Amino acid sequence: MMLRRIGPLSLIALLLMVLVPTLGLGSRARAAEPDCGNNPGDAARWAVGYGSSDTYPEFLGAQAVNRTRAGAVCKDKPYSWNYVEIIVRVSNWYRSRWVSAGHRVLGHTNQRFIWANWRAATSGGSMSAFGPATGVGGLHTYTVGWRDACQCLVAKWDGGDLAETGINPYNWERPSRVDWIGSATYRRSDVPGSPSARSHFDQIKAQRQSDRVWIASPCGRAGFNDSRSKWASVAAACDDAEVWTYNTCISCAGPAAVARELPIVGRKRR
Amino acid sequence: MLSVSTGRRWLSVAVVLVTGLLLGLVLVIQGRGAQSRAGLALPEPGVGVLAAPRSIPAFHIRQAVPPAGAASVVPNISGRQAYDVAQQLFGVRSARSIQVELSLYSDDVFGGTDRKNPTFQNVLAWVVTFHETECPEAPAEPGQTQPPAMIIIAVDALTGEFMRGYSVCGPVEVK
Repeated sequence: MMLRRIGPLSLIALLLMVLVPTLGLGSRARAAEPDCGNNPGDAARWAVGYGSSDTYPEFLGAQAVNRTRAGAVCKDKPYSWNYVEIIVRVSNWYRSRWVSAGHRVLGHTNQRFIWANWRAATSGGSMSAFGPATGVGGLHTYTVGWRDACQCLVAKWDGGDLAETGINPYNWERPSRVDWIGSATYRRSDVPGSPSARSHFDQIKAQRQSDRVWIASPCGRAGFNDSRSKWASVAAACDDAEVWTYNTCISCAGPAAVARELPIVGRKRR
Repeated sequence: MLSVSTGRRWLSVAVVLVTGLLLGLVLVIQGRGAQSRAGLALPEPGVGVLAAPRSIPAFHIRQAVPPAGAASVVPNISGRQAYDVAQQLFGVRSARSIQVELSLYSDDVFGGTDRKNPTFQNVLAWVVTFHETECPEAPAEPGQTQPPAMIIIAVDALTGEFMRGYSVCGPVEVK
């Protein structure tokens, strides 16, 4: 009786009204939401900095001052470990072995840590060390550099050690690379920062391999990388650079617009 | 030939069946979503006092057995509370087993320089260890799979404050 009164078509329409939002079929229409992606392998990385090359001397240390920024963090992602981070990094030529220092926000708990990460062997897993939270607005120096005492790379936060890694970069594939990176584990969302409060690498320095002296990063080149192949277009920058995302509706805009909307700007000061 | 009323009856039956199927589908999807959000089931943490000294050279951390009966080794928070602190920070969602052990915790690197004046030496701490959990790092390259991880979180047993966390994806030497 009830069915006759309602009518089958009305019932189906009612069901569709329930199903469409439940299954998220209308999510593409949403704007200003982080694109959480569906695969941790799609991690997006925005990089400034420069790798060793014929143009530059070889480096074995990286340093930058960064003010801790807030940013929209994707909380609902199939991959349970969900984070954004700002780091300085030294790696082997293939970027398969590395030491990094910086700060990280875990999206699923919204907690902020100082953080070091290193990978000694290409075939091995990586190790991380997490320190107590670093508050938004704090200005800190992050360093990865050589230490004679351990004949290895150490990760530092301001004046103190985060980790002593035991990794000797003279034993890996050289020349080494140095990078300053903002990244997220999902397809596209904010690294720490926003258009109005950008995450800012200041006083970017690199430790020269030949005499282990710290020198300012040369200006003149800037770039970013935002592809599935994270390291496809790492480029050079000044000693002062910024990284942020607009957090716009990427799937609506298309890839060409994405490139315009996600700049990393290296500001020439010298 | 089916009569009109018989046709309507069959249509009604079909609508009810389709409705049931669709509702079932919705419930299954919602159930999976909830399961995904909650992660895999976590075992109950085993809480106790460290039985023998332990160290992890790669992290330069050491744990000593607290002296029995000394007033200075009475924690202000329970092992369960320390576990809750760890989970509030890290939100670990799966593990084969979880240990929460009271020990005197030392980190010979963190906060110091050249191993001098490190921040934590012989601090009474609950050390929460997640065994065979999900690696907390994204893979180095797309498509790679990460090995199971061990996550170690030290919580000050007197103040309840987070001290240090470590993770290793793959094997690590524990002495």
